Amino acid sequence: MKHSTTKAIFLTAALTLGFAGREALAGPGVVIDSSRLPEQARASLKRCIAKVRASHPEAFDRVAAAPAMAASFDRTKRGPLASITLPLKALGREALFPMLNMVAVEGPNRGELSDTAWLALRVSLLEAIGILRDRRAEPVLEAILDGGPPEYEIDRAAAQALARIGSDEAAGKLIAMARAPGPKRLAALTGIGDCRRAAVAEALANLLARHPAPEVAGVIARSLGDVGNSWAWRTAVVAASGEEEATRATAARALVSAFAVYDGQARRLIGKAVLVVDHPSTPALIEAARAGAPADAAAELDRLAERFARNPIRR
Amino acid sequence: MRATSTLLCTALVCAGLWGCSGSSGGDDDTDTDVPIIDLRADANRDGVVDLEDPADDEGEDVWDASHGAIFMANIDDDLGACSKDASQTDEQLAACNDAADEVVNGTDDLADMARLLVAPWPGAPEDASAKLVLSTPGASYVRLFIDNAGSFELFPPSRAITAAELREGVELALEGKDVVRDDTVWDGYIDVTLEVDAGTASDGTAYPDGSDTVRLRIAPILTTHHLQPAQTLFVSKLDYPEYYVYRDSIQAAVSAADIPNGLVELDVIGEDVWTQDFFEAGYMTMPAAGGQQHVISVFMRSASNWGAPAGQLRPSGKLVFTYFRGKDAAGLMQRGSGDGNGLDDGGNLETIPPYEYNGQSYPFGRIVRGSTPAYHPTESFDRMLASQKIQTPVAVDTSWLAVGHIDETMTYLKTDSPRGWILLANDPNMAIQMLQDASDEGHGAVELFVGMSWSDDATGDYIPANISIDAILADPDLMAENAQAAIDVADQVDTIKAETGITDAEIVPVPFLHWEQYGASAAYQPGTTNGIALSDTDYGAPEPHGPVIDGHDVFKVQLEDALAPHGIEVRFIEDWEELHMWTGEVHCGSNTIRAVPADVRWWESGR
Repeated sequence: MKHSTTKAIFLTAALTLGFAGREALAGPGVVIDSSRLPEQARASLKRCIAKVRASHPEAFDRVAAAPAMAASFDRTKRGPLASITLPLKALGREALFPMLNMVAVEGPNRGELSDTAWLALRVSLLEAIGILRDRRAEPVLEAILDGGPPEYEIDRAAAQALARIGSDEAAGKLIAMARAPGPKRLAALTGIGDCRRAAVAEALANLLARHPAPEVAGVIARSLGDVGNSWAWRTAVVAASGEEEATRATAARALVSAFAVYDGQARRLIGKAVLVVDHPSTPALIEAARAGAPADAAAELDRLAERFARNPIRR
Repeated sequence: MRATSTLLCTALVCAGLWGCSGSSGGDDDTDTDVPIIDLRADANRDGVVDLEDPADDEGEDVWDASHGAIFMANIDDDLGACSKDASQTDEQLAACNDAADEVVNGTDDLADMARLLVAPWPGAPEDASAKLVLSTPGASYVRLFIDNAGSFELFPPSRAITAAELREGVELALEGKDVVRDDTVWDGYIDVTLEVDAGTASDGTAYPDGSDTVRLRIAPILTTHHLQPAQTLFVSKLDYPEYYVYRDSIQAAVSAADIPNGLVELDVIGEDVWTQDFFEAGYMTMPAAGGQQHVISVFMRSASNWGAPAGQLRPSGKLVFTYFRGKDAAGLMQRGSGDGNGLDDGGNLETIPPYEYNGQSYPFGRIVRGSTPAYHPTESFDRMLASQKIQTPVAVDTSWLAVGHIDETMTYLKTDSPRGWILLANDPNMAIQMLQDASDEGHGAVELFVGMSWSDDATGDYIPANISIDAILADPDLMAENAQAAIDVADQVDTIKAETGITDAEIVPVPFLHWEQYGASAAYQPGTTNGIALSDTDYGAPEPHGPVIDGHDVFKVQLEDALAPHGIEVRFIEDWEELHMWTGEVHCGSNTIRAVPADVRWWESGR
């Protein structure tokens, strides 16, 4: 429908589908029911929602249009899933509570949204919430991760959103999930990379040092690379923790060590993560790893050193 | 042995006569009693089967760079007999073509077939006979017709060639019933053997029996690369004001580039704006008289299931049958056992231009697709592409991209250099550096994407997309994603370097940023590698909507300056609202038919 009609007709369609108006909100949230929140957190969230609804009703109206947007993007999507994260992000900070409201308190009925449009809506809301890096979203995100049946894309997006907030509590929660076996562990391991904290780097380094299966090692390496991502650390938001050196050094050390151990796709992912972290200690770490490595691993380490020397993020 | 002949001369067949060339009992060509056992094909590839030309005889049973005849899959629709009704099923549409029946459908149909000649043996006794034996498994993929007084009729495998026909000589036409789809099942070669039971001589002794074999190879499907001139540009035909902005913009670029057949709007099924993705244009050729090539265009329906119900293919892909199929134009479908994925789209099927490297020559270039062992296009389609042998596919890792298409991060343009082309490769690092430089010079408040929005037509809301340079540089998510993307693109470029030997001096970095969506990457700024090679001197790129500093969009200026030394002018095309916002660009929203190269022949590769 995206293309066949004018803007006005889209609005009409959205209203017809029951997405655009507040009347259509039927609860619970599109991801969880607020009953899964601790009582105090639930009450606090509802108070905040009411307050923002009074002061910025237009923000709710805009977020209320998200399902229609998801339906539209889904029809024209390329790749497995559409994303409306950018438009939601563009709504700014005032959209936080309207989005949390839709996620956990009173969401619209699914209506005729396809499976992929419904998923796109929920994932995008969580991603956009995470981008705002607001601690007031933590209870909702933790509740998503704590309960309910595993749903990888939702759990990954919730973990990533929590990771972006990056508080001590968020980091602790994600580290615990990454360490413990469980149905949501993979989602946590994937999402944790946006939690750029020294404790997270240390935890992931320890997990990698245990030499998990190559598939898991690849996921951990990617996340460790994200944690130590040198360009992310250039930004004030991330650098504010003051943990850059500890985090990136730990990531580099663990990744170079693992590079010599794995092969195939896992080694490839680990190598990319080494480049993303781009820590100055890397040449020395490679040299040290090379000393005790078998011939084939030593040759790959030489290649890694050569790639690191011409790291494309440093040209 | 010179002999008189009554064999019909046609445009393709010259029927002067030579003596036997196959194995027979006779050693002396001048002995009129020696059986003439000679099957000819166009072994010298001059487009003519010539009984007087020994080059059509020597090495006729081998197929290499200099010997061996060629035939084609006769899967076009010369008389336009196939239904254009799009309500037919995928299988019904694909089943109709000129090779689907057992008749010759006119002279154009006959022109799609390879000719074979059985040389006349004027002295053939009454009890002589012959048969044609086709090698397996090729026999299942070809059909023979015999000239009967100027009319070609089916020549079934069981049919014998009579003594009278041996005396007169026989002309045959061979058609391929299908392209090679899996070379482990059939590699595209066929041996045709004339086996002659020579009968009894007038003195009562038996003539020695004999045989003669010719080897033929089916013409491969070739895809086109950007050094081949664009002849026609296609976009989807969609009827609403927002789309007209894009269509009119690309029309202006097509006009400026003077593309011969201009811009054509395709009546797509549904609202498929992604014209690149539902078909790929290719072609087959075989030698024709006068040093020419006979060409059948091949329009391959992508194995994509975009917008399709489960178990069906992308609806607009039916256009390869309902629009493109016709005289010397074939539609082709190759589906897998399950539904396709986004990697099956035509935007993930590009062609590296011709090159030589490490002792290997690829005069038609090589197919390049986004593919990894864990995430790849439909295997049977890839198998079909690889089975053509000429443009051995290169696999590049696009699994990190949300859409996963090879056209998102790199393209190829013609230049005047020993290689003849350059690689345009996305460089997120350059984009960040350009923004950082602008910020350092005091332009940090200047905005990108001014006047653009993310979603107005979907919701009625206008959500401005404008963002300042400093806001981008301060955004940890954008910064993190672009570090990762820079490394992922470099990895792709390393693959192309390893396969082609291309050097950094031949690579033009193209700056644009990525953003992350559901853990994958997509172009944040309009992806200016995702453009169209309009001509040798015109490149159609999406309008970047970069920061305007001192009256100039710095990203436009950068691209123009980067391509100017190659004699290429950039035609910027407005695609934000109709393509970019939906994770595509102008290459995704267009398709191109390009001229078949006249100066290079695939059969000379020997593959």
